[in-house]
Amino acid sequence: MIVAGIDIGSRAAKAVVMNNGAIVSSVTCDTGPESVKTSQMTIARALEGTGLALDDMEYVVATGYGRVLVPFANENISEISCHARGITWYFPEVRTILDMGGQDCKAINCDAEGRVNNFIMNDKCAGGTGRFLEMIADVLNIPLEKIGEAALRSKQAIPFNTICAVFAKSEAIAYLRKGVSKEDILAGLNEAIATRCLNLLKRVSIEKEFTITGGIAKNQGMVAQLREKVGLEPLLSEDPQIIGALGAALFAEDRCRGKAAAVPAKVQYGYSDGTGNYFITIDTGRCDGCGECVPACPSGIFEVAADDNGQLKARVKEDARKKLALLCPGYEVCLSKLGRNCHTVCPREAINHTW
Amino acid sequence: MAIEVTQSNAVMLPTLERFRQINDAFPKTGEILEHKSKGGKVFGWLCTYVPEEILHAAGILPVRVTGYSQEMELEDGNAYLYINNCSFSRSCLQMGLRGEYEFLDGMVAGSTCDGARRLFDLWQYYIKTPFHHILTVPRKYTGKAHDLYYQQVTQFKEHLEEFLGRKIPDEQLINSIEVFNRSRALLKQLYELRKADAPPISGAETMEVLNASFRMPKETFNRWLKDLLEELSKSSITHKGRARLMVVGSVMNNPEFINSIEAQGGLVVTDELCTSTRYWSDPVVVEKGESPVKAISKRYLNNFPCARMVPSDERFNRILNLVKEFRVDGVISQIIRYCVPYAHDLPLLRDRLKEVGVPVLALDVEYGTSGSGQIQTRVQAFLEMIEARKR
Repeated sequence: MIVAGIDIGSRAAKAVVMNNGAIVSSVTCDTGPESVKTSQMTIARALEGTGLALDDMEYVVATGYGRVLVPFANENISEISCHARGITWYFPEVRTILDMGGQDCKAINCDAEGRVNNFIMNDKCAGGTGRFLEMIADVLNIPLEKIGEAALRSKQAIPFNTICAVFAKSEAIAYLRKGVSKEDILAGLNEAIATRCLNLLKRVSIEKEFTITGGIAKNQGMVAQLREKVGLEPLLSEDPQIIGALGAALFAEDRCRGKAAAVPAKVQYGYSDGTGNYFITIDTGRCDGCGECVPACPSGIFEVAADDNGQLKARVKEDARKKLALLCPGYEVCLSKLGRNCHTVCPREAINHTW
Repeated sequence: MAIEVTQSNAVMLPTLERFRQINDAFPKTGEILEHKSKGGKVFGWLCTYVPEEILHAAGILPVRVTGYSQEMELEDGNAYLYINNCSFSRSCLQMGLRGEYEFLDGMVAGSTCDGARRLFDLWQYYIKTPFHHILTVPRKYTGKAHDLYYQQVTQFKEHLEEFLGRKIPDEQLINSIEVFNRSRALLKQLYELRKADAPPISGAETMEVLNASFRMPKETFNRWLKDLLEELSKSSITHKGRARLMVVGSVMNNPEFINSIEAQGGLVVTDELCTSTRYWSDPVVVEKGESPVKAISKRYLNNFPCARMVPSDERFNRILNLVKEFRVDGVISQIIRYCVPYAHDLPLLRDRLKEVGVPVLALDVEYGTSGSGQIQTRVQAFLEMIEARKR
């Protein structure tokens, strides 16, 4: 039974390939501007040197922020469920998970089988996320992977009043000008972020054992701060960043075991704009190439063309893909202005939008 | 994975379309303009503690003041109302300042929370609606509270009579009570259908019906809703989800928000929103020998309470009853930022629901939000959590 889990995060894309319950390979790549390409590249990297091909995968589960844009995935599951499931592989005794990712932070409470009891995410704010640390590393001119140990060398952490990404940046620059050491600034920021995480954790209740997952778990300075604030020794897996993808792979195994009859594969194809925030997906498993969507779009972004198997399918025109957010007015707007949109005209409900 | 909609033959629901058209034309709906063109008066009301029957009995068309059912730019709303007022009050003010409620002949509010109160103050100051009135609404259910509220409703009626230059007779009030009670009974029938395993109507569709109920004459609404119930009884459309959900929180009338939950397979079967269940829940009961005004004031104070009322248990018990009746698997609490009464009650409600094993997903939102990527991730994870527990 060969399966894969793929986790398209906002900053990094991770993939785990498993064969009969053992990890064959795992990789972490940068998330590029196009989620679809990123997912293809990531899985290709994960399969490199394993002698396996994408076609050998019996089931693929996608997770993370770009989960709906993985064309070869059979299913998508939220990253919250995947982190809880993934951590059981290493530490079934974990009840409290802090997932610190590139764009958000989640506190999860789960049971021994990796089922989520409760979870909470930070709100629409980049304070205390991977993106925030990247920015600070840039301001301080220290490579990102070095900021953890740098903070550990601090003698006197500088108290920060804010972890608002914008204000903290100006505050950090002001301290630099005053001659405060970079180490002390980093330690101060870590402390502020740890306090905020503690607040998230308290809202789901902190139970033993405790773990940190996601890219930031590799930052020793932050881990040290969290150990102190939470008052528990975090159990750290060898690569905390792949836990989401690992959870996805474990779910894929569950699905294989549970599937009596073959599950019809959902073949999604997604098109996203440069920001990655806007995308259209076309379920090519459902699409029969009837072409109703072509005249329905006021900007004419659709076309029907033969796919690799010679079957007619709808797709977004090559030149429209880059300017998607610009061209597409949004399906609600179309519906109210024109009385129809690509969703309503599609007889097989194959088209979906994020805006 | 959206909710499963099965439809063996193409039975359409034409009346649902008619309700949708009303909402699309909002705020200047054909029904409102028609009433105006016949020389009738149209009044705006804000908050479910404003007794609509009094307006109706005076021949006035009551219209609920809301924002659009989507997030909007609040350039004036933010300039006039400090941002710790909720985005609902700022959205209403924005529309008022833009002149989108210029057809209103009056504005009636309840001083139920700071948001409503400040919105009313600014409305009175900047938007020249000919008639303004605000009712003081007590926070308790004691005898004294009822006396005070009765006085308030009486004063409101007198103020209105003075403005119109004529009395509102008791017979008219009795008639209005009947019309509104009829509407409540029909809405209850609609909600009863949602108790089924696979209801004929989705949560988002139900919200279209409720939105229209605020924006057209009640008599017409009742007729249409009866048509819709008839169509639903003959329809073969059914909706089935991964889980049965209830939405709680103050004000929310955006069908797109419900749609974004249902698109992920969470079927919304009931709610506790002031724009839905809390609006129509209780009928006015006129006891023998009691004045209609007294009966109205009693109903409005005792109605399915807003989180502003104390003790909170009355509200919690009603929510728990709904959870049982509608066989709810999970509760989604959507709280508009800075809605203090609801935010403060949530931990207590969460504990009460925990006792009966019902999980809560708490979402902090802005008024009119239709479900961003982050909200969708949370809803998806919540549904997965419910499914994992069922196994």
